[in-house]
Amino acid sequence: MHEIMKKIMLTLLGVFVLAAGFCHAQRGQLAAGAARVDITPDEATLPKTSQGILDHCYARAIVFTNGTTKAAFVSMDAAMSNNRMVAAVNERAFKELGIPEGNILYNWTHTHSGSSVFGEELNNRVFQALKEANDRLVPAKVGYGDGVCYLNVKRDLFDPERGTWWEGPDYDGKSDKTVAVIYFESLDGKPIATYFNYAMHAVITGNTDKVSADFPGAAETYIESRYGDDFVACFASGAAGDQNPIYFQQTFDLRDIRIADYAARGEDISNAMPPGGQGLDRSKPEVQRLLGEQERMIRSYGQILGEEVKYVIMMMRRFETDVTLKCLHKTVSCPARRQLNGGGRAGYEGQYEDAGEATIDLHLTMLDDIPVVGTSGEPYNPIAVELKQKSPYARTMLTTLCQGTFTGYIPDDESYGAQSFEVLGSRFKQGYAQKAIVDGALDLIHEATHGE
Amino acid sequence: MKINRILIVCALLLATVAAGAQTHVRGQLKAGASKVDVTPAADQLGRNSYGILDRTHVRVILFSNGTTIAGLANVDGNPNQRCVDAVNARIEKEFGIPQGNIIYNGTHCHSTGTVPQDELTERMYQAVKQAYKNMVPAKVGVGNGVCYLNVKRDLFDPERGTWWEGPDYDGKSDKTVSVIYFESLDGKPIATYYNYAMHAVITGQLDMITGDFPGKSEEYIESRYGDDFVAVFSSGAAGDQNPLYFQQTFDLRDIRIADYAKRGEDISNAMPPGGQGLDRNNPEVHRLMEEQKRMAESYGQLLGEEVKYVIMMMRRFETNVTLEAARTHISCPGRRQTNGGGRAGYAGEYVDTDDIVLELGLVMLDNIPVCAVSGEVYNQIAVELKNKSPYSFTMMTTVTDGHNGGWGGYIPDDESYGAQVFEVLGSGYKQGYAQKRIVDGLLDLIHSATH
Repeated sequence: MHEIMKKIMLTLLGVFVLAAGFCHAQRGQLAAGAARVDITPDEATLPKTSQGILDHCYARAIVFTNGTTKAAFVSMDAAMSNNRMVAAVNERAFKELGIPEGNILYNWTHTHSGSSVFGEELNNRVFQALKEANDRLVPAKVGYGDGVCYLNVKRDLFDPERGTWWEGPDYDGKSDKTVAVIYFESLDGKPIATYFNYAMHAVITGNTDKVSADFPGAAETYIESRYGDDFVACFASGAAGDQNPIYFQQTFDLRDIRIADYAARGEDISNAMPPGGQGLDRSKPEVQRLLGEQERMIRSYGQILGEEVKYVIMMMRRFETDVTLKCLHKTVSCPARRQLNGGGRAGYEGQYEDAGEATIDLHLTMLDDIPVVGTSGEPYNPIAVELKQKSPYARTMLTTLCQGTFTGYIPDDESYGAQSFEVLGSRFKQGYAQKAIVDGALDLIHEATHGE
Repeated sequence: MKINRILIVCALLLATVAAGAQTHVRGQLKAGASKVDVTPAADQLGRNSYGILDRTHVRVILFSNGTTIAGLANVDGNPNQRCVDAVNARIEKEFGIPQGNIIYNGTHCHSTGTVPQDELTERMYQAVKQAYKNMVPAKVGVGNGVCYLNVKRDLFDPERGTWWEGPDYDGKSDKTVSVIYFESLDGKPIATYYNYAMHAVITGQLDMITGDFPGKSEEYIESRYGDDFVAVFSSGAAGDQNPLYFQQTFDLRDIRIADYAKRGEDISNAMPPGGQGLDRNNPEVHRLMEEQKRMAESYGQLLGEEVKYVIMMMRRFETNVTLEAARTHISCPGRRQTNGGGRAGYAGEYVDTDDIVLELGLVMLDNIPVCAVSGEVYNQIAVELKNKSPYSFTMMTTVTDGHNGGWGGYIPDDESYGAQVFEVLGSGYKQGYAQKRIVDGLLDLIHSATH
């Protein structure tokens, strides 16, 4: 009797382990839906310093499921993460749409000139985007491809003329040009949505003091115009902590004009950065020309990046419709530091004291063989490159500025010698964060595909 | 008698030395520039035209070192040799500018139009005259940048199983933007001459007058440096180089092919000119054409930004310069296709023809060799020239004057003759000659100018 019971128990255990194994790799018919909702504030509510609305900001959502697991991407035309919004939307999405908390990967496009409605209104609109996307779920297939775009550049520059570090285009600096593209369409070929990842700071229109989604918004709307009104294009910021638009001279020129203007009034801002376009004399023709060029630049950048995304989509030949889907997340912590001699933007040696631990949120949406890794904060470009090189999946991408936690700049270990504002102000001690992100993400991928 | 012979030999030696000194003499650089509108009037447009999208121009930069005067000029479209010859004759007489000392290049935009020939000649002359008048003591700088907007356009399409026109992301493609910049001695910007290898074909289906991306980039750069500043685009070796983002044109071709097929006409391997036959009431056609207009703007801004950046980073200028200009001719064995008609994807058959004579030019401004070829040169020919030239800032400008009523046409590099594409299939040059003769010919011109 005892032996028989043992055999039964072992058999049951075996079945359970097999079932758990299948759980990790359970395939099912993909369904996908997408929507976007305008989150631009009413013009009347803009602050007095605002110069108006250049273009609109949106919350964009793609919901997808394989029948067993439901997940979503949410892309926000805004600068920084919003913990409260994430918590509130997660709660409703779980209750009303059946999307478990942690299965939504939020990312901020990091536009430096974005603005949105706030509080409960923002929560409602983001949820609305998810709800509409969920309502539109249809049987779908998914494709992946990657392209290249030479619009970004390493922005930490050792300037031999200043004899120190400064912000500027380092044409020879490390800079991943990959544009990673996920694309969903219905089984009968109707385009649904794309999620595209590129590493470049959305800072072009930051001086205009106008509400704008910057180049990500221009790219998104450009792509959407190709595939029809219901189509949704979600921009995901790659590891852009050290990546600027390559053509960014307008901003540097405006800074110089502003520095001179302030100096004429006896104030030295040569190593500081008043927000937006604060203090700029907009009646000057030169200022007007430069601001006009910035507004045109986001259209140019949006079109060129959008064209690359469209080309990658056009060249996709293989699609999956019976997919696995797994979402995981974890928090990693790294030794932290606090700067003691802040104030300057670049070109001096930082002094620090230890400051306990700083955390980084990691997230994984593993859609079949496409690992979309999300991280809070603004990692430097080589961190994503290392992750891609070490990942067993060729389609790995790293989306940044994710979820709700403010994390700040995360330099790769090699870049700590750069006396630039990102490195100087980073709260991560050298030698930990890069490894924590890469290993943490690889562990998530392993867990999603092999079990714990 | 013996003394006389010695005196004659001495005189000859002195003359030779003087000639040598004369040839490589340095002198204070002077430079001036101008641009003149050559857009046709509304009533001069063809019946198929959809109007004027933007203005077209002739742009001229003249420079002198007190001994030699030369220039770099462009015209939107292709240079009209009769106009060039007439202008050259007149300016030689009036300003002493020797014929051949100005390189005129076409921006090669495929959507251009100008005033009629006589009027164009007059306006080109006026542009040269104005540039001549504007000459002031100046300094010159040079630099190279990069721009990732062009792409090799001869593509072996594995889905068609043959050659076709399309972006070969891995194809050979020189990304260099070469920039010459002139400013007055007190720092007032005068002009820039910049060279980039990309076909100006973005707006070719609009059937509207436009300078395409070259015109847009020129205007964009000019708006940075002031009203009097002149930015002259020079088409590099772009025979096989398209804009990277050109899908609108391919999509419009597909729409047109389908439209024609409905009417029982097969144009799947042909190319009616411009946008002929496109239904412009079709919303998809409208969207694609609007994207083309915007693309010319985008390309103009991005290329213009790179030029501005290269100028901004210039630190060394020359004001006491040498200046040489020269022309030469090469001849290459020719061929004529006997089975033409298709645009791509089949083996060409040929018979031998007479040699083709090609004019090469050089304006050697101090240590900057601007080399000219009067045809549409494949990219790798310019790359070979740059690799072999002793001068770092060697550039090749193409679609230039000097074609003597004929047309240089496409000139593939030797490696590319296996590509069954319209440029190679239709080329009048036999494989194995043009690349070497162009490169050697230009290197010889550079050597002569400096030695």
